[in-house]
Amino acid sequence: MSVPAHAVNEIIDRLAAARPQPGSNCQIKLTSGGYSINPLSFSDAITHPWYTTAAWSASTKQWQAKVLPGFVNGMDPTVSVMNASTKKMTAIPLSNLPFIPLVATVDRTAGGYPIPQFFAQLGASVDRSVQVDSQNQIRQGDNPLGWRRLISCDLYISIARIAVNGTIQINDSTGTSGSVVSYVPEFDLTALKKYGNRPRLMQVGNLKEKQAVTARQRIIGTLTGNAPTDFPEDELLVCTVYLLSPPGADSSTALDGTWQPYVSHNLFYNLNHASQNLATVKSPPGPITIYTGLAGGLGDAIANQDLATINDAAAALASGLVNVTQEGKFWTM
Amino acid sequence: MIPLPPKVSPGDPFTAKLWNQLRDCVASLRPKSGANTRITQNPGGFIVNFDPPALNWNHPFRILISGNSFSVNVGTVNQVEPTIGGIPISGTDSKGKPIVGGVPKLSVPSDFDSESRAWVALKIVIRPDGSITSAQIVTTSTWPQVSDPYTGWHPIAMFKKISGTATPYQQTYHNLGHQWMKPSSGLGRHFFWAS
Repeated sequence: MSVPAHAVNEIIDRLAAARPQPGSNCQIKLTSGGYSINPLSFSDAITHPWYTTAAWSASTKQWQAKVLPGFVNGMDPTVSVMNASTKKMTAIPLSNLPFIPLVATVDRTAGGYPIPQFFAQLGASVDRSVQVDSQNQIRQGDNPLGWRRLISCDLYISIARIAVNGTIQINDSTGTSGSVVSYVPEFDLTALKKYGNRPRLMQVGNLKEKQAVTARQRIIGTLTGNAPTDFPEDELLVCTVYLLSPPGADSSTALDGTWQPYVSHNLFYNLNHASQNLATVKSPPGPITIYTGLAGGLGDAIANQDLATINDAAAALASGLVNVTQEGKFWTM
Repeated sequence: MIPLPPKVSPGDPFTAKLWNQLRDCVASLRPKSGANTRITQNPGGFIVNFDPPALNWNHPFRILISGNSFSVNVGTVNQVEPTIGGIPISGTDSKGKPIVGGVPKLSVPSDFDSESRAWVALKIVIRPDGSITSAQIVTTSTWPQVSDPYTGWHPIAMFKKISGTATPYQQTYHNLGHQWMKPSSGLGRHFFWAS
């Protein structure tokens, strides 16, 4: 028999990559007829509020999640899913146990997102099939044999609340020697009126990308005409659903039933939530003085990147916003 | 793991022994399902599903259904034991003696809201100093309840009517702490937390 060595070695490498490996709570035993795979201990297994599973739907050709109902302030969230008959997105209570198509995903192996060590050990790594060399030339690269693609989706709770945005007000009437610069907070009730207090289960590729607006961003953004907007919702990660391709994938390998789902839970209990939501307060919040000094001084400080002045103004605003911030808190009940 | 065949080098003979080793190795890759395990075979591989049984956790405020009624495991709010119909949920008096009639029970709700939901709730009444004068467990089809400075509500469980059957979803798993936050204006808020 004559077979090239590289062909035989490739077969051996493929065999090595195809051997099952134990994941969490998993035990693998080799028998004469194959591998026997068992959980390490059922006594540790627990299904809890927000317990999430994912499965491939052969009918819709989609990966779908199912979330055991959890509750916020005694209410189960709604989740927006496509109504099969009306073909419109409809808010369904989580206690109706809807299947949730996982559509908001990020490709972690495309780069830009961390790959957990657990998946790195299973063969997921940053895609090297296309690379840019030192001459800025695109060249073909190679992924390790048995390379696996990793896609993820974050499921999270969202509760609408009042957003606090604002404008900068400059008062030059204090005399010839200077001016007073104030931040005038404004309440935006749009989301609260639209969604009410009912929690919603949402999905996004990576929830960590959303960050709260800082006092510094508020000042600089508002003065430069690029004002940031406060998120009109409080959010909490429920879980991250990971989908791992079979070994030997390439960067274009599409999701299908051969992929392996993993769920990393972040929530295990029901919750209470409270935000200020001072919608009943009829008088709007007063202006917050953030700078006193020469006219135009704050604008000049920003243009000149005078950090001391900017930081003083940001500290004054942060202190003043404590009394009007609407950001809420979740806690275990 | 089954041992892999040895790597070969250019010029090495492709022997019958190596071929048999490869065959054995490929044959060993066929998965077999163990206890509480389901394996789905696909052209590109196999998926292993575990079906662990639910943990039997006898926690505070756990609702225990028997027929068309249910009782509630002993739990406390600010160390006060709630009652059902005026009887402590443990079914014992303050001296620890069993009360005639046993552990009190509530009927599984028959009245549901527009989403087929009904709640088992803890209703407390407090004094101006925040101490609890009464703690009752009741059922209601209205949620959230309207609180006032001296009356607070906390969900214990929810029933969801699915295909004619009321399915319970436990909401509270721990004893509770409670504090009423007196506001500068308005009604204030009742805060409950796991204690």
